Amino acid sequence: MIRDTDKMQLRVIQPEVYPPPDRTDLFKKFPWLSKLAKMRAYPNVLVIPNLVMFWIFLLAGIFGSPAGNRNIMIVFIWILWWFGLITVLVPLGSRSWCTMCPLPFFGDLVQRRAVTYVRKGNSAGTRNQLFGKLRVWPKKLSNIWLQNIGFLCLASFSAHLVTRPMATVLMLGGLIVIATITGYLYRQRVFCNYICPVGGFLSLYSMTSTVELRSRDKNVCKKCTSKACVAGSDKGWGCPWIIYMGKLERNNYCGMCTECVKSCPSDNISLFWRPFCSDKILKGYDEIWKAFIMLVLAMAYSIVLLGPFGKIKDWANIGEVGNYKGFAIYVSILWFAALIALPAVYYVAIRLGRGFASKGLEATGDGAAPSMKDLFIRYGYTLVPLGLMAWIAFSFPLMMVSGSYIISIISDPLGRGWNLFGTGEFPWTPFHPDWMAYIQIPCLMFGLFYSLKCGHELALDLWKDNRRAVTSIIPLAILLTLVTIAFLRMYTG
Amino acid sequence: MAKSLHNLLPQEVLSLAIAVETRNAERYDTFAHIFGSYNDEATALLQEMRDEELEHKTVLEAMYLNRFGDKVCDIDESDVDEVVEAVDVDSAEHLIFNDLTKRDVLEAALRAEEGAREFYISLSESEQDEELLQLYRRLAAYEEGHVAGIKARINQIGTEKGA
Repeated sequence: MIRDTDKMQLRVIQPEVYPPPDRTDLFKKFPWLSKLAKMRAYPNVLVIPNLVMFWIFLLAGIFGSPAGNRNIMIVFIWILWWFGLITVLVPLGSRSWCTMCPLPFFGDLVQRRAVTYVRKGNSAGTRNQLFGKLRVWPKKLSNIWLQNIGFLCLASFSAHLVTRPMATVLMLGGLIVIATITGYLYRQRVFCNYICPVGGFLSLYSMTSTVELRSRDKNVCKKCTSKACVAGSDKGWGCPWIIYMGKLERNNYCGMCTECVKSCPSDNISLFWRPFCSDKILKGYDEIWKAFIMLVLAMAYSIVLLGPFGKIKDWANIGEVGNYKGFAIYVSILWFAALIALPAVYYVAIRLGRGFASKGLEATGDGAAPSMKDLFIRYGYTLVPLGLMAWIAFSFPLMMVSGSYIISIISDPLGRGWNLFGTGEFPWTPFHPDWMAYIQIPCLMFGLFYSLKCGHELALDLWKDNRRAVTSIIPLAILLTLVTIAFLRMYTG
Repeated sequence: MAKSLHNLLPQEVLSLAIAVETRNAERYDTFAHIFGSYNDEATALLQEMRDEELEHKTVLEAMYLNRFGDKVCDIDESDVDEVVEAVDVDSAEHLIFNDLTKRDVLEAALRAEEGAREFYISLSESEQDEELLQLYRRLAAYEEGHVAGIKARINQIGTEKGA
């Protein structure tokens, strides 16, 4: 008999109950959300209407007006969708766009041969019956480099994409074909994890999001023998994003499809509300380069689409202007800045900070300084809040200046002079352009504040000493501040 | 209603140890199934670890039979609050990056075996009954053997490429 229990100090693994105090279990607080997530019809109740809209937009892109501002595809995708995505869905909903995205629908259909029904079986490491070739995606491509390069390619042609419906049709049509083919050839959501150019930046910026899908009690996951979240069950498909919920610590690769909510035999998965910028760990060069690319593109888009630089606009707008030499210069500068220049300046800042902070380290016997690789990757997160807020600051003028097109385009989606709802003649009416700076400045300052705050937290974690931590991020803080000033100058003239 | 480990009878502790080995064998099997064809080496090792857990289970069953006879004590991990020894991978994203290595598998096994060893050492530190004390020490020594075995394997693969 075990006795004297008061004196016993059992050194077993202590319970790791989620959530910590700064999280709110939304499934407990709003039980209808939990019921919704457990419905087999979810998320297809969102995906299918989106798919219908998607096809309408594609048809509008093909048969509607070639003028961007007269075509519902351009107005809805590049103004309304983009604005909603970057200002609301990502910061408040993580990768909730991926939950409802229509692009992988046919790939899933090919793999599952079902829309809501779950097939029990034994294929591709799951307890579900999947179809197709079910190959494993090549290990060398198991990262987000393809997404980085894909997004940079698309961004290079952005001026064309946002003004020419047919260009957008070809891009989106191409993506849906790729998603379907990869769905047939490879197991699970290869397209979403490694190819989708939108998925790449959603992955990065979802780290800031105020919601997360996590297990409530990690011990329940440890004890679980079925690992149904990733292996699937008769209640749900194995995670299409191939994530094991028992160890999930960041949002990056969770598409919030809620299959884990359905398949977990212990009802241990929930949606949590959490503070902004809760995930802070970047894990590889592919992820930090995504942060470089996104920050440079936010600046480039601001210059091309919002700035007063006519020459650069002409260079970027290859479709209308046809200045191939100028376009080559523009693309070269863009790629150089994103892939080499900003990383190089960032490297120098990190190197200087490391040098300052590690002075006298050996003499005091405080151990070695963190490696340059660790600092380079971990401090990369400081580019994330600032990058996201720079994108938000860029997107507000788009909506405020061009948002009125949405009202007229609803009545005349193809730009053929229709007036379906009586709003076809609604004039182009910029919404308080004089307010823009008052929105953009706080956005950028908020982003800078969080970048510095997170930078300090990361530095403390790496250096374990506040003085060294602060010293190590001073050059980086100066760099981030200069970038913010550049954005402010761009937006406020 | 789950109990605390503090309130278990020795017979229950040994039964629990057997259940833990069984469940860990299942966990290894599940991971081997999940990682199958992503990484053949890691999968083979997971299967090997599963077989080892089943061997441990057999040894513990013999120990139980010897100490308590064939009287069945029906207790499982789900009957206790704490996690005694549960093998688990260290990252949610191993499949995404296809980066589970043999070392990762062995380190997961090591964490679980060390957890079990600590568990029995803790029990033995507070036990008054000499016979039970010997039982816990024997179990702790048994787990220590597993820990040493896995550490040796980690050292062995330390220099292997891609380990």
